[in-house]
Amino acid sequence: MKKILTEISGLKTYFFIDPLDSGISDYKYIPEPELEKFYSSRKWLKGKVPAKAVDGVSLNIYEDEVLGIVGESGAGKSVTAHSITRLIPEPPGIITAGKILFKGTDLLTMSLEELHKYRGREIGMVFQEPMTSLNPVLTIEEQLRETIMHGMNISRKEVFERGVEMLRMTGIPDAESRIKNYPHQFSGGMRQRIMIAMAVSCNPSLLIADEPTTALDVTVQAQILELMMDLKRSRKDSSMMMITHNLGLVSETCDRVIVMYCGKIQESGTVNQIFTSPKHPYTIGLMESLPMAGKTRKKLKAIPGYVPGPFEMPDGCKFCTRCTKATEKCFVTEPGIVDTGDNHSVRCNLYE
Amino acid sequence: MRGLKKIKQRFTGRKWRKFKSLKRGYYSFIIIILCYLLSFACPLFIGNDALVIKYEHEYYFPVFRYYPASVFGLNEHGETNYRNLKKAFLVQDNGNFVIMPFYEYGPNENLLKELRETPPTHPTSANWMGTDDRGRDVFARIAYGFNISISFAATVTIFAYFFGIMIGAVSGYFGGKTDITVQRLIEIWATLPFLYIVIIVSSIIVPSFKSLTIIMILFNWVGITFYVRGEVLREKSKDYTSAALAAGAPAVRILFRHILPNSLTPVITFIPFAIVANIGSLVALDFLGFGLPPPTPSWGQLIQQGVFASMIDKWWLVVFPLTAQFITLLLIVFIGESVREAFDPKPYSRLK
Amino acid sequence: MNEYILNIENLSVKYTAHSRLFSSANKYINAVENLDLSIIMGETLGLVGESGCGKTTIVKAAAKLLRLSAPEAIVTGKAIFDADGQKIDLLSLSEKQFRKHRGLIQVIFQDPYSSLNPRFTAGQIIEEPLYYFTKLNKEERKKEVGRLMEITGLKADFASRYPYEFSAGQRQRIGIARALAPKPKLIIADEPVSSLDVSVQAQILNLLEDLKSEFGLSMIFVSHDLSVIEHISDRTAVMYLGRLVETGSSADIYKNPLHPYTKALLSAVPVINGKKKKEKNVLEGENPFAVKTGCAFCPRCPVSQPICESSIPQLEEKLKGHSAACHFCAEK
Repeated sequence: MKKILTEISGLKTYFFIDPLDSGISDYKYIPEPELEKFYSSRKWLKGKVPAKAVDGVSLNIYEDEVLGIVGESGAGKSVTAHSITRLIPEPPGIITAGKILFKGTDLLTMSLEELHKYRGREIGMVFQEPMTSLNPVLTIEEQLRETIMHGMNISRKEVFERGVEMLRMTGIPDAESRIKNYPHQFSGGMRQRIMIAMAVSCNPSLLIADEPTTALDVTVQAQILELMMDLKRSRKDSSMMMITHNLGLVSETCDRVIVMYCGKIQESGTVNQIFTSPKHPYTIGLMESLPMAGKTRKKLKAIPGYVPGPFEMPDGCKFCTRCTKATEKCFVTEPGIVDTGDNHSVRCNLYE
Repeated sequence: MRGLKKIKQRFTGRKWRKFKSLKRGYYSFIIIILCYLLSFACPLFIGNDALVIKYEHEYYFPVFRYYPASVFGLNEHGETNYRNLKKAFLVQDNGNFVIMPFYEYGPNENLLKELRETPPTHPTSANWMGTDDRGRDVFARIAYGFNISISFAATVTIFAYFFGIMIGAVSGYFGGKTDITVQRLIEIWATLPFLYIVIIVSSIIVPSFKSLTIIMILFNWVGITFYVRGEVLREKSKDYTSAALAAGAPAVRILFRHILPNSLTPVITFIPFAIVANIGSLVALDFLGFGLPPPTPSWGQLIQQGVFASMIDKWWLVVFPLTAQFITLLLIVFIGESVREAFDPKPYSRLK
Repeated sequence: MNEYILNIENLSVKYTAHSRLFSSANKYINAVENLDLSIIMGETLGLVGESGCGKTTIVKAAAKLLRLSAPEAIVTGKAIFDADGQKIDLLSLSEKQFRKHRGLIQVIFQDPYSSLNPRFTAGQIIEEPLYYFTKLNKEERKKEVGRLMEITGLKADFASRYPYEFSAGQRQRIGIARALAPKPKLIIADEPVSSLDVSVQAQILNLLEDLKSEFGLSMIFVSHDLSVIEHISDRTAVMYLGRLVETGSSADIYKNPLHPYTKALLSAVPVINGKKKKEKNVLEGENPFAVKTGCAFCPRCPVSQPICESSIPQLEEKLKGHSAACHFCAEK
């Protein structure tokens, strides 16, 4: 049995926005009882309506595994990742409920100074847009130094050497001279390597990668993925949380998978379980609708309808409006998560 | 009917609703518009021409027509003093009456005969803001000056922006040599010194409202071209313009029907501030003596009198016009801020 | 011998690197170099490549749409289009002459947000090509707009709504309806599903296939997603840095890629197969900006030889209907 590295329970992150800004007609919104305490303590919430980006997510990240979080836009996967290190900007977002136990300590209740010790040291993050994640007016050396010194108390010379070593490890050629360059002098793939170098420089136990290869070309994507897997293998007992919408990527890199839709987990299990015997209609629908190299050229089986916006969520199961197997119950009751055996869980009325 | 529907759509749009929700700007807008519209009917509220006179069973309307004093049986030249006539009729009490505007003094009326001191005189219950150095009522001059200031500023802004938008749009759309030539011409034009030219022109011809607006337009159109050109360049690179081209639309239509309406956001947000600037310019010109010709009631001229004739003593000549200008500009600035906020793209667009 | 609907000959698109107003010593960047490409009538040609390879540039140049998005580009070469039997070189026409024929070549754009004018209603957007290419009066146009919307899966009474009221997938449908309005013969689909959610991609791909067979269209499908290209296109052309490196039927290219770049591209695509490890042919380095001499792929090629640096390989037929531009790709 693997040890649990991070345990997330009941995480809820809402974004509160002005109804006029998102094109919904003005109507009086009465906050739910659990949100009352926020509305009374924060002035800026007056008149704002919550968009439930993450609505009750519970998951575990074990040591020495790669966990994939898969979903489309609006699924809440990115927001979940940002919630772990509390990178949600307030306004407009608030983490309204939940516990995030990292190695036993709740990240959500600790003070910012305490949290600061975890960010960058125990938990590293790689973001999606390599073009904008690096500060354009600082050299790579300066940015690396920031990260390294945050985690270690070493001399300036040692910081420089460690920085060069990190860059070499992530495949930047000519690391010693290029460390003094500015971000704009690197290509997208290289910038992502630098980001990865910064993220692992303090040897974090958990590396969160939020769509790390989406903005990159396919051939570069392969390089970066190979790099990330090599890095993970070389660091004992470290875990990686890989967020993506690309099922193929998940299949090749992850041990376990969590499928999210509309802010909730719909299915979770090992890669083998999910890809050879998917249970949730959404997961099944996704896989049938993907064109895949080698498949014969039949028509794709598309999922009808479209992803509901934050203010168009149906009552009951969030997938009911598009589900081919939906029953009357699905439009009324939201199903809970059920373990169908061997830790393969589904949130679907068909399995309750 | 179609035109009417289109306007209604624009006013029920999100931006208008957002504008309405920003109370400060919206009320300022209402106040300024109401005051401006009312100011066209100024003589009905503030003036020395009676509204209605009943004399010997006949009705007369001096506010609209000129009646020599002999009409009312008086042995005077020219028009009579209707205030005195009102007092006289009250005493006579034989069915004749005079109805005066609410405030009985006019902007161009010389009150030397009635004043107890030498002008400029202090504020009294009759002349609420005193009189200027020619014995003219200050309150009336300020009120009439309001209409002139706003009319001037609005005219200049509208025409200057019209030319500026056209030239900026053409320059941005056609690019190449057209763009380079126009930009260089604009740069040369912008180096012309405004004040010197106005002084020179003023010393040759006495400026009228029309000629002054023309000069101001000639100097003001340059400013907005840069913004419009930038927006046009940005919109040009968006796919919908290429789509219009593929749909068979000629250049004129693409520029004026597709690109321009989407490029006007900075223009609309600038308009209130441009009006503020132009009012300020007019006051400054009048203060220096190069603005509107003498009998025209203008705030700048009042301030000039006050400043050059010992400010401390004749404080009302400076304080009241400045306060009027301050309040007007403040309200318009509030409008401008609210417009800018209403047009602001969503501040929190990162929901995905 | 099948009839070609579009025959691109020797097309080059250049951008000036440092332009001087009065000197002829300009430096050029070649976005697309001496490219020959043919599209057979009734087929879907997939154009695949990574960023910077020039695939979007080519199709926009052929449809004469670079005027707005890249006005400084210099286009040379020929694009011979078969307009109802008559063969016309599109690039030799002036804009005015070409406008008559624009209805026959239509484009579906990538970004569902910027490809629709936010101030036009859906109906107005779709109506515009009808106004310019058909002689229908207002009533008839309105009816036709309704019909087009139904065909593309939208309700006709949504015609009075504005783009912001639609989802991304629906906006792409509006774009497709607009492209179909003037009854074109050739549709250029420039990454039409790349910006869409995965669950919506399949809908749009199915829609495109249905419309193509119903109206007998020819299509150029541009994408960087190999799985999508293999699914939807009959033939595929692979581009790298402004040059064609391989062409052939989709089945051939995926079963038996000849060019080293194609091989690397195919192996880099993550695939769902339940297994974890896959033999990866991972390339070194990244797409360079421009290449001076010789084969464009040479710096990253695992099998490059000295000859690759000096001479540009031509696109030659190695197997039946399957061409590649490489000095060393072996025929199996």
